[in-house]
Amino acid sequence: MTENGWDDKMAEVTEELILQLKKLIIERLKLEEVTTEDIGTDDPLFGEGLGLDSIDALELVLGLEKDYGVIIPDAEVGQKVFQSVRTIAQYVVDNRGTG
Amino acid sequence: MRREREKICFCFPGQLQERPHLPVHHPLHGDGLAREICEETLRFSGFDVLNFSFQEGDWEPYYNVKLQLTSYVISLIHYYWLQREGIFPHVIAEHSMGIYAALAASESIDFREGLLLTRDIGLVIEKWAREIGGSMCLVLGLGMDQIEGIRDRLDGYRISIANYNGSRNFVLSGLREGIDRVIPLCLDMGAVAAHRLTFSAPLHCDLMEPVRAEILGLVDRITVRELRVPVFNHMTLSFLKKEDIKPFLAGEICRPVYWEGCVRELVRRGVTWFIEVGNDDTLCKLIRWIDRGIKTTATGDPSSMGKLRPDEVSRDAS
Repeated sequence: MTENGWDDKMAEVTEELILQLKKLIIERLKLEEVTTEDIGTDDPLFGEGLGLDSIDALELVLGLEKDYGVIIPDAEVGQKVFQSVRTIAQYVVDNRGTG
Repeated sequence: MRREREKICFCFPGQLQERPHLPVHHPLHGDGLAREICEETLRFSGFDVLNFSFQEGDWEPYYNVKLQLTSYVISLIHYYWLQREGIFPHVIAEHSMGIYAALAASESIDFREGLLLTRDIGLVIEKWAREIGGSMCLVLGLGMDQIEGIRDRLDGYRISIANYNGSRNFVLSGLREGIDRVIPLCLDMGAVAAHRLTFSAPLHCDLMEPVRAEILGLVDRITVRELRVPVFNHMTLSFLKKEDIKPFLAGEICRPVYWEGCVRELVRRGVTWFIEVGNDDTLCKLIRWIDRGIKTTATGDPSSMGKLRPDEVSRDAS
């Protein structure tokens, strides 16, 4: 517990949410050969990691909006959010229902 | 139990955006058919695909020409691999510069004619690009009305929509300084991504009109034959006829690519499976956005060839 509440929010990122987000990535991007076990929670999603690109990012933006009511307002935020599954989860926790 | 038969569309992508990574264990190095085609490419065009360089002529500085030739050759190697596996299309679609490989696959032009057309049209385009100072950018996440609004705000920079790739996926063409202004405007409006593409020419817009006649001159040298596999025209949403091909080749660089409409119409006509024939999976991703229910496979995915089974496919166009 901290004064700014950051750690409280960090605590809300559950394994269940992480798993749901991995499923969302697989489903939205139709990654038929990939399982949730293949996606490291802290692995980079773009470039050398899962190898996603900006077209995939657009799919994920839509998926997060539909499933969690979370809006990614611009590319700058998107770059921070789509670093890894954990950063997406943190963003969902911080912004769920605000969209 | 009998498998339901698929109606297959082979899709030929446009120019690669960067030199493909072809490590020594890549099939292009080891496969006999691929090696033969690479040797033929070198012999007839002077271009060494595997080393991404011209071994003769003074074309080495033209990066986009090298990308276009690489795209053409890799697409056709993949096409011949599919044929070897007994997998044939009912119909062919193409995106932008993918037309040359599409026509060679349909046997309307032969491999060498397509190769030299790709090189020589590419050179005309590159030289014009240096004269006019053009550029292109990809914009994701904005709707058409927003894109049109930005275009209208930049009146004078001759910005055009060059590719209608999907409801929130557009490629814009224009003068270089105009594209430089488009990108931050799109990002300010909330685009998920807006970035410059490799092209130095403002393709698929009327800025290319001054080279149309020169390209027609190149196209007039080739012999066009009847298409053995129908090639879909994204502009008219109908199949290209033999007599359409030369004017199409001369005009397509001045007209947008209507990819979304093309895919929707092909699905409406019964296509059940789109196979992207090339090094990448960009068209599969575009199709995923347009119609999530449709099956797609990219031959550039190393695991895809094993998933393509002849017993699932048929040449019956019924």
